[in-house]
Amino acid sequence: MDELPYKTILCDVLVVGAGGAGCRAAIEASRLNLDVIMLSKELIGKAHTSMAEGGYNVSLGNVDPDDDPETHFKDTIVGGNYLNNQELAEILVNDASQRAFDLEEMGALFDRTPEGKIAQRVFGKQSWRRTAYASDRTGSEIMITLVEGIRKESVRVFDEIFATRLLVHDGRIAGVTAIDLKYGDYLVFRAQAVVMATGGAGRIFTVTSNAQLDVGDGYAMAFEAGCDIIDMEMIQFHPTGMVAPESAKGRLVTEAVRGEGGILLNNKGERFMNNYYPEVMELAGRDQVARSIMTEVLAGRGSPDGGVYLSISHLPKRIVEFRLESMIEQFEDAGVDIRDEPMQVSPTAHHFMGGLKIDTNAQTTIPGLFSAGECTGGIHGGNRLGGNALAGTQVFGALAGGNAARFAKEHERTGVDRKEIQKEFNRLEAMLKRKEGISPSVARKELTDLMWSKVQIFRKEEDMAYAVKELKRIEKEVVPNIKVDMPIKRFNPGWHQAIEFEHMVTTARMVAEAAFMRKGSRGAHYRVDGDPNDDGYYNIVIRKGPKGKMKLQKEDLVITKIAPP
Amino acid sequence: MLFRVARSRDGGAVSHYDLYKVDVKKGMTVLDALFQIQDKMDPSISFRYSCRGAVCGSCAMLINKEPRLACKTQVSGLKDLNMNLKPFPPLTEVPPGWNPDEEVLVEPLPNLPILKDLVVDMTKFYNALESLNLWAEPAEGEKARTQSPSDRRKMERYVNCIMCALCFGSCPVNAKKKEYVGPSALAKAWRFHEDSRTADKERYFKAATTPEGAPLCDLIMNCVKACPKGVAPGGTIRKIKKAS
Repeated sequence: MDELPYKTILCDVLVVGAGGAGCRAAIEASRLNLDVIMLSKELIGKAHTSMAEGGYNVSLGNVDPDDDPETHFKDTIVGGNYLNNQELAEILVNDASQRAFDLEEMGALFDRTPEGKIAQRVFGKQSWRRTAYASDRTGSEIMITLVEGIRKESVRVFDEIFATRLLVHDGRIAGVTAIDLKYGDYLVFRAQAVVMATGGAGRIFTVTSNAQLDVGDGYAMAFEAGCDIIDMEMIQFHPTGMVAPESAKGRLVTEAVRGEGGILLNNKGERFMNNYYPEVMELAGRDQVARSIMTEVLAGRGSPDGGVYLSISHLPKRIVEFRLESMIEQFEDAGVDIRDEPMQVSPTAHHFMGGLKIDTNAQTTIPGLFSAGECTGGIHGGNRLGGNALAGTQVFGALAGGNAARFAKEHERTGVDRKEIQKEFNRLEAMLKRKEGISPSVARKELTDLMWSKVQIFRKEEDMAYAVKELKRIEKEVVPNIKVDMPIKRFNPGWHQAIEFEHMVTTARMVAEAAFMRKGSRGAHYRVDGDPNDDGYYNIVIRKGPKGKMKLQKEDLVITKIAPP
Repeated sequence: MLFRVARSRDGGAVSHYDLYKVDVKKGMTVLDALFQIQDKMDPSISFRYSCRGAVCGSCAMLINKEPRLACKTQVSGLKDLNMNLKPFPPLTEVPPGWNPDEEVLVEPLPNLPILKDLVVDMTKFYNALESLNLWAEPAEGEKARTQSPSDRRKMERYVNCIMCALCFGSCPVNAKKKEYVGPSALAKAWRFHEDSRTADKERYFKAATTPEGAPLCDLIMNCVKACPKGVAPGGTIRKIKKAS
């Protein structure tokens, strides 16, 4: 093993990830007068949070005065198919309003009611108009605001830094290893407490709404470090993603298109939702619409690019221009005028409900390691309501940041194992030095195609078994042989992809293993061969066993108020 | 279609241009073309991107000598596009051999140091926001704030800024004067000044009219033409100049 040079950087609280949850955590920790570092894998402010369109669920009752946290809680649990950790869901609904006010305090501009209060609109499966919003760019508004909030605080931001591995010492979190993407330097960040806010992993699927960096780094790093991971089989597929152009494949087409009257057609011009959910048609639940579209496509009634048609051209142009401005722009960029032509859409991997298992302090099963945002599991159960994710980033971001700061004050920084660090950097270096091997872009395609064809919306026993077997093979044969095409360290996308690949494989395997274990349909997990005797009221928890083996076990639900029917 | 792409392995300046033959399909964007080059021809080429849909503002670059977002620029319509920018050296100096009728020219965004290929160092752009202290300082209070819908609407244009730096890269003043904070920082300062919830408007007025701010702008309006989100910082700077 070569002795590779690296720099060590010390702080009290380290936040890995700079989206909505990461920024909020860093701000909270910094306000408690600690030295806080936030790592961002891309430029600050470019995180996937900015792509959230819809809104932020909070029971302010500004338009429907009867709304309250209790009802928000009930909607969240029913929507989550009773699999949510109810202690965490209670925190979500109780803290959402204070965290929304925090955003205002930082300058966020929400849309307003005539009286000047924060406006709220209706979203799927909610009892009241509860979703606060800023036009159809709510996530972007929140992201911009948080970045301004970060500037105001004394947070040290390191952007274009890729954390590769969590360091654990004496049973406590010690820091992370990382590379500087700009120059290729090796870095070690050490802290008393670490907050994971690394987002989701839509990118393990061929078609996804997620930004390019959402490959599941956090899930894989936490698993490798010995952290418990929960509900990984629960993945929300949004029914309408773009199918073309190639670079925009899977990009979200907002639910508002159907809300405003958009209709779904197959290649025969039939409004096929009539055959599946005639009462609600296009406004059926996200999972129901997604399955209907996929059924049409698989039966050969799809569009040339592998989707179905979503048409709004029957509506007056004025209405479309007024209500769906950003959709017009989004499709214009793809050469389609939605006022005259139908859009082509198909389901797209959208949100991971599962993730790092946390307690009511947002602490994971590794002391000193906290988690917030999409990489965290348990809050949304089997299905997430639109608008609960943005709220979750703020509620659990602040909770994780505050508790990480308190942990950091109460503990000394623990040591690190230099051998472990060298081993990690040698692993990364080997990808560049290997003479022969598999190119990361080829390996990635094989993986994402496997996940998209086998572990998608319709799941069945033989596919799950096949996916698990294949993923084990990829882990053994492909991962150790990844070879970067150009052996340079400065801003080398091939190297970044190569490092991401192992994280993707580990994450994909957790998804497939959990989906294999859950024999019945529940929440977003739909088994075509569903076992009717499996009522599904349990969570699946994954942890690393002896010799690095993936251990899965069923655990009882955490129930505080509402028992499953 | 041929793509002539600026390269810089060690940063600093463009060292040479590489020519790639891209298979163009209907609806293809310049970002699609760069992916094709990276995946099939040259994995060493570096460029930034994230959201693929003009929300994150990562993929700002110079395309056929005009500053644009790669994800928002259709390859097929390129020849007919013309921003009518006021020329300055990075927009007029063409690499030898470039044939605009047959090739798409892709270069890094001007006015910021090149880190590698199409990736530029954004530090200067971000530092402007930091140096002007551009964040909210609301009046003290615990409760929910109110803002009338009409006050909220006044902010509409400003909030669309995605910090892509296309305005910064299109500005002839930024090219010449290193100290100039640039158009988007001034629009941001005015966004806080105009916000009905802001207690100390003077603070943002001072920021906008600092010697490195609005006084340096020559109202050339390249930023208005280059902005992909309709923020039109130049119009705001005109207002700032009038108010001062």
